[in-house]
Amino acid sequence: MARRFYDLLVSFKLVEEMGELVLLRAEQLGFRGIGIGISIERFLENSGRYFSTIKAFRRYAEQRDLDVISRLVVDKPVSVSRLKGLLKKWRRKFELISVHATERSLTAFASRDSRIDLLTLTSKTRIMRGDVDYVKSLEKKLELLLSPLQRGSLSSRAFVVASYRALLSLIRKKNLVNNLIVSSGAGRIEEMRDPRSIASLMHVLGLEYGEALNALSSNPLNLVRENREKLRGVIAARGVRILE
Amino acid sequence: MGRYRYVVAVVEEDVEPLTAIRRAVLELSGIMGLAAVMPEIVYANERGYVIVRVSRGGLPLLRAALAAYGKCPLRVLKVTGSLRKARSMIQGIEGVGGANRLDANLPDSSAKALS
Repeated sequence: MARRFYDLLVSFKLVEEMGELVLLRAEQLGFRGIGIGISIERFLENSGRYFSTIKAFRRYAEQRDLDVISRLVVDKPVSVSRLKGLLKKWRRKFELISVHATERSLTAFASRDSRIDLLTLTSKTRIMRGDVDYVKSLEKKLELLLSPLQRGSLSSRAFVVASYRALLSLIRKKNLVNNLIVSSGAGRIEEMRDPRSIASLMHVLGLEYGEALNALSSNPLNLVRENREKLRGVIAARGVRILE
Repeated sequence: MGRYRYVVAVVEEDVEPLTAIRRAVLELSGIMGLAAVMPEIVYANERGYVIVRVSRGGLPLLRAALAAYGKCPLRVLKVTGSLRKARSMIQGIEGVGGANRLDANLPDSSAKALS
């Protein structure tokens, strides 16, 4: 069966600027679904606009047989109490919620709170043994983005390559390869890449090619399916599935 | 299995494709990487389609370099094991009106490069 590739993070700003071209590009690159991520700051400025745009975008996407996933991205350090408040209010409105693991306290909280689906790893991320245990037991996903490898000076990109190598080595060592997701994180249309090229890059950085392909296809697809079932109420609690 | 792989791609930037490929590979993996890839353009047409011959072992490095390069000079459509298949693939794409092309649907810079 052919793989269904998902790019779980394309910036909402890009979608606003380019509209349907983002869908066309995703389709040509071989993706079957894209996640439209909005940063927490922008979302709080005007929450209604995001949902109306996503709704319109979904209609276009359906015509092209593409899946659109709504996603909230906590990409700036916020206090844990504020994050708890945000999760309480917005969790059921989004199909995915991710946190950038830039701060230690935020990383620790994001890895133990089951309302957060994705822990986005950055070059500043420090992961402790406890975080790994939580990620394993709660079946949380870890995410690596392609865009930091494409932006900035050569030295900053070299630093990102070194960090990603170390993170991928840790992920393999701790047997978390099935929890890994790779997304483009594109803020411009030129930053979107085809899934097999992204997989090749991850292969060069230390993953097996098959594992890298899974990180772009089955792993994100399983997460999206599970979250949609949770939102529909099919999965009432962890391990409890309501059968009609 | 042959020694080479043939990468069918479409040029997306207004650049000379071989120079751009070499630059991308050099940026990610240096001279050793370039030596492993050994890219050569073996076919190019006026519509922007190219066939790049690379050594089999260097293919992941080429794709990785293109993925990590800031402005992607070309978009890979398919990888084949023979030049004949690669050529027939381009004929197939052009035969259906270039369905894989972005043309006017892309932002200015890319569309210009394709026209």
